[in-house]
Amino acid sequence: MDYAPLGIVSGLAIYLTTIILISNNLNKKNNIIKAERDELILLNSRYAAEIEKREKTERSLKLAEQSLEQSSKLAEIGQMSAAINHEISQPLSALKTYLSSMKILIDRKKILEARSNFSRVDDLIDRMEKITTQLKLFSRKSDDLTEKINILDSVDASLSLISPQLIDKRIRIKYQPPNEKLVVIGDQIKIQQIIINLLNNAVDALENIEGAFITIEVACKKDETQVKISDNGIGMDEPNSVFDPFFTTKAHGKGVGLGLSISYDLAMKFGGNLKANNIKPSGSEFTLTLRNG
Amino acid sequence: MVDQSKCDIIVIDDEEDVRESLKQLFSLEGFKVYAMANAKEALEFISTKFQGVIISDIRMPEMDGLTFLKEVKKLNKLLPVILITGHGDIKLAVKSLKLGATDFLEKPFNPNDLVDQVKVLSSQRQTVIESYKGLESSSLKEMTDYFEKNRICYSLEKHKGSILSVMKELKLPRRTLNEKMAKYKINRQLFIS
Repeated sequence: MDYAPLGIVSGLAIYLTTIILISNNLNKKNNIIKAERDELILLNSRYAAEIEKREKTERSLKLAEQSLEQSSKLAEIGQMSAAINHEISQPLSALKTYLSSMKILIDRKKILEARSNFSRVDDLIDRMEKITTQLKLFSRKSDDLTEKINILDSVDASLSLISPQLIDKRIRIKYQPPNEKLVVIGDQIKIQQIIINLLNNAVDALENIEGAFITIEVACKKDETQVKISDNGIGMDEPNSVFDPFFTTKAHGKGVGLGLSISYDLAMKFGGNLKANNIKPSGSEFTLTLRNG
Repeated sequence: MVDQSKCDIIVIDDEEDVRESLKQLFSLEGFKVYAMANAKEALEFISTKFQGVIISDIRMPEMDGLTFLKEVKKLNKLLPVILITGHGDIKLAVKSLKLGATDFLEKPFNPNDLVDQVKVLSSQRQTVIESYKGLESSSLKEMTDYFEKNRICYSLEKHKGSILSVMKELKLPRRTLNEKMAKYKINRQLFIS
């Protein structure tokens, strides 16, 4: 008997079966991989959409945050507007009056005297220009830049904007600026925004207080600089809550309670800090800490 | 050149620019101007013998314009006081006028309007000052006679010439009233309507 062909045939059959089995197996695996890959692609596109959505939300959140900062800054100006109006109406009155005099002088051909009125008018225009420049600088939108700035410039600019209110409400300022400039990390306008907010709050706290004053202290400590702004008002009932959004003790229409919360966020953004506490015998103290540049 | 027909002016404002510009303008208009930075100082000046027109700011250190206005009115009710302010609100304006301010102007005001107003007030003040001068040269007897005559005329007019009513109002007997009317040449018929 010749078994050899049978052997070959059966061997071949086994071989073929094995190949078919293996290829089936491979097909199955391939299908699973394909399904998995499809699923991955789907997931991937979902993730991409999700990421895009989040980025969009983040962007609009950032925009909202910026516009909130801007609104709060404009609200600070609003609070100062009556005093600023007063400050501008003084030179404006004088300007109009000098012009009326100039007409008379020119009619009477007193040219020399009329000329000296020109220089007075010039001085008054300069005075008004200073106020509007400060306002313009403060109200412009600032870019999110952190740079090295001299904190004393921010204090000076804030004081010149708030000074009409201080004169008007008879509030004294106690401030001895250090002799050397103190460089910190931050944004000039935003730091000014924080300081003006703190000063405006102090002015409000000093309503109807006899012998009202605000103390400003600027001091460099190791690798940071502190600006302390304190008043001799009645102090705060809840010093721990003052930075909460919408926390306010002011009368309706005088503030929505965002100023300090925004100031706090700004200070943190620059790697600094803002703290509040009551002082003795009475009054509030705010400490703005910024990193030295 | 100071115009003698115009009364004196006091300008009070702690803002030097406003004060000095008003001083210049009113001087050019022929007024004698006293410019002061402080209401207390102005009050001392007024209490001596001032008879002109006062222009004062409201918000000032030491003494504010409203307190100043009250004090001026205590010294002389007739002195015109114009208040000027950089903080114009209706409440303050009403309060000022109630306290007797002649006018209330918000800065920046029109200086020509202010000059026109002061000119009118000045001529009114001059009339008052002239009438004081007239009285100064009269004797006490002349002044009381003048007053008595006017009082009787006023009463006759009020009661349409009724002698009985005038007697009752002025608490005078008929005979005395008749004598006085004869002395001052008062014709009762003129009052009967």
